[in-house]
Amino acid sequence: MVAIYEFVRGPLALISFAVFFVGCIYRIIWYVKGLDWRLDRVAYSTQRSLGIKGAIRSLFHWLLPLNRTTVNHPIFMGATYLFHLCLIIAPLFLVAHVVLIEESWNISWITIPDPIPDYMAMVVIAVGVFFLLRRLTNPDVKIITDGSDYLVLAIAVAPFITGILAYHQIFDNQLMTILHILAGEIMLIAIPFTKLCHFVLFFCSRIQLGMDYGIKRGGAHGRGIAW
Amino acid sequence: MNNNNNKIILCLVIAACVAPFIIISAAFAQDDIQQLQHDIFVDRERPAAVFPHALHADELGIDCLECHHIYKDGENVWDESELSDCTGCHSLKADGKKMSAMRAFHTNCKDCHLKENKGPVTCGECHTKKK
Amino acid sequence: MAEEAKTQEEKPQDKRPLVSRVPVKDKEMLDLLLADRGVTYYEEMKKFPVDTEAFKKTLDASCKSRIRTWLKICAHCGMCADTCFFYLANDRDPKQVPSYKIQSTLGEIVKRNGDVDTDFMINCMDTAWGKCTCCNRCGMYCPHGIDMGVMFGYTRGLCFSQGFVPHEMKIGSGMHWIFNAQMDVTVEDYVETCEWMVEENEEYYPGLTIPVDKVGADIMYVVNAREPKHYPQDLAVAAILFHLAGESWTVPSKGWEGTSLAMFAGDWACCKQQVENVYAAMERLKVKRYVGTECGHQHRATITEGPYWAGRKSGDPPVPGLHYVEWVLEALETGKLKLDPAKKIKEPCTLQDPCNYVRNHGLTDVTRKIMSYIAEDFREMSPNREHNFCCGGGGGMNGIGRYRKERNIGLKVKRDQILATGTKFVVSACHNCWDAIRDLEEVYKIGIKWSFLKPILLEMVIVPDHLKPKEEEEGANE
Repeated sequence: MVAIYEFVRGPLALISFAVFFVGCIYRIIWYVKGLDWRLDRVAYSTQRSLGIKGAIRSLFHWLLPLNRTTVNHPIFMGATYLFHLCLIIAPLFLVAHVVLIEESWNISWITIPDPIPDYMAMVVIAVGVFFLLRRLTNPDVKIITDGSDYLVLAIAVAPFITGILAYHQIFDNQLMTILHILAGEIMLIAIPFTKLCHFVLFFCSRIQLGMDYGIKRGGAHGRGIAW
Repeated sequence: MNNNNNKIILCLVIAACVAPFIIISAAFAQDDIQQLQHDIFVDRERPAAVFPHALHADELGIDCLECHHIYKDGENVWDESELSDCTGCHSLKADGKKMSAMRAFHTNCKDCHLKENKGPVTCGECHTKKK
Repeated sequence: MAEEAKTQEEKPQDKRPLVSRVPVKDKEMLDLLLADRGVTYYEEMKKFPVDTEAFKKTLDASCKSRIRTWLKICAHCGMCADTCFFYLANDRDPKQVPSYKIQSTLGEIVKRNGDVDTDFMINCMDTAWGKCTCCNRCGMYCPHGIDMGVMFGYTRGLCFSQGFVPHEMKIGSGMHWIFNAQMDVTVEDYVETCEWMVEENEEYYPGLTIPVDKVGADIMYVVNAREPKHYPQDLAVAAILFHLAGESWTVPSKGWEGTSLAMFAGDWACCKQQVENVYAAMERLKVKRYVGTECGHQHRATITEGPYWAGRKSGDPPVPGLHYVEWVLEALETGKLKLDPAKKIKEPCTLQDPCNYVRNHGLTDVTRKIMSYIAEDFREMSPNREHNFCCGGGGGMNGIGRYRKERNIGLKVKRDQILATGTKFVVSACHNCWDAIRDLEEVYKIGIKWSFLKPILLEMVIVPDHLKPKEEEEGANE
């Protein structure tokens, strides 16, 4: 068991971080290289300033809940914003994670007191359950749901379930910690290859559509459109 | 009377000779240490780590120098007469080559446990919640 | 399968197949299709094979990271559902959720890398033209910035390249190939119509001309073929308003038509040759600006998308392109056109925002400012501006017989929007919207009127004294 721990804590962690970073960077390069001003019908390079303005506008309105979709669907969108916020902040600033990374690679950053990520993990799980129930019951969502949707939801929520069990020392701690680390690593590795690639491609897509609206679809007119 | 005096003197001499050993053994054997309770850790995120000193020093007979150390010219010159309060040297933050106290403990404990394939290695196994 | 198609295409002339992967470029084929009225056409389509090899090649060449990313990162969250007027009009039918519509068509095509069959392609066609007007509204509400309207535009192109295209759209692109116009109106027909309209109206507007091919004019006015073909009076009113505004303007002979059914059909090669005609006219006549008529998709095709089809890296047409409403507002604000405030529309009226130049070109305020000149009681629809719903007839929908039932259901959303304003008069500066609103009155009989801007303006415009006809002056003196 200790050998398994050593493996997931050491080489596998390194591999998954490497896959995650290289994969994400590859995705961005693949995306940008695949843009084509003629096929997309957006003058990316010749109308750069309009494009940048549109891109910033698009990111601003959607990274913050300043859009009509949030107005029309406050509960779902609120839950979504909360889910993503907690999902990013909790693991990134958790003391235990920063300590382990510092001990491995001598880099560290600020942390937040343990109770906060603890609550955040519970939020992630709660919203995850909400997403699951919505998928199972809402006919509009059901019709577009496939197996991969459940899979990525499980991949995203698993580190938080195991994390809470490990933190609160429920069940065998060594086993739970190993499972927690594994769950986290599966998520990191899954990001470039599954729908979770929206981790980076969300930004690409938003920037692209922002540029599209900024350059071609009215960005040069009046107040412009934020999308 | 003389005989009695002699007996008392003998007792005192014996006591004087034995006392340091008792004091020293009380100070160093530390049978009662169960946790790494150091005052410098004021704001703890996790409970103090479990550390039964007697288990390591007495039952398992691990060489003191495995943990206790003072390096001079690359050599561990610590002996039982030296300071044994870890946080006397290791403070909250790393200082030059000196690891931070937390890192020193983590490294010392976990590396050995991994090497020996014995003892706890995960967070919750050492920093156990009080039950 | 591919060979089968070849042998079909090689049959003798009198039995030429109606369905094919190539555009209609000859008059004979066009007439065959027109005569068929779609009956044999759709029957033939049921047996028309998919050329999967060519499909793969098309996908490799044209389906790049943007569309692949959109398909991949769709979180299947369903936020697009209630943004689609078809979904709302069809009692929230899950099969009308935009994400479902695109995933079950283009999504599958990409997943299977073009390895799909005839039935699948017919379903794609019925979805791309019968369940989406490419209004792009869903794209504005998708948290991931996925524009399903753009993807359906692309899907239409794929369908077209495989021959699975609604009858009227095949004819539409054929018209553009043969006549450089969406209808069988030749350059001669057009120039004659211009002359005719001048003759009809110069009595009332002395000095009225429609200058054809005048080099160096300020404005080149480009129309929708429907106008010379069915509503020549519209052309006359445009001429009168330019005349009264004292504009230096012209209409081109070749390149007179700005619309593009080819865009609705997904025939990109045809889009290119169509728009290049207009651009060539701009350059030939060395005009300062282009003004297009009151047509939404003409503006989209010629000004917004056109530069890209024509390979113009700047994304701009050769000269600045104005929609008619932009010219009207400019003329009103600069005083070139003066309206009689007493003639303002008294009854409550509302305004239709066309997707093609509002959501897709940002002309949100222009029409509202015009309304302040012409209406006393202007009431907004809700939602409005870039959030407005499609009229229900966009993207070619109005013209396709196969989807008439679906179109009429879709019109319910616009009907209810209009009813909610409490007005009985709808101003619409777009041919497609105008048609859809006319048809919704025909279908649902809610007792509304509708109008382009030009007739309203003609009604209200103050004719400057020096442009008034002599008789009238004499009459006034008596």
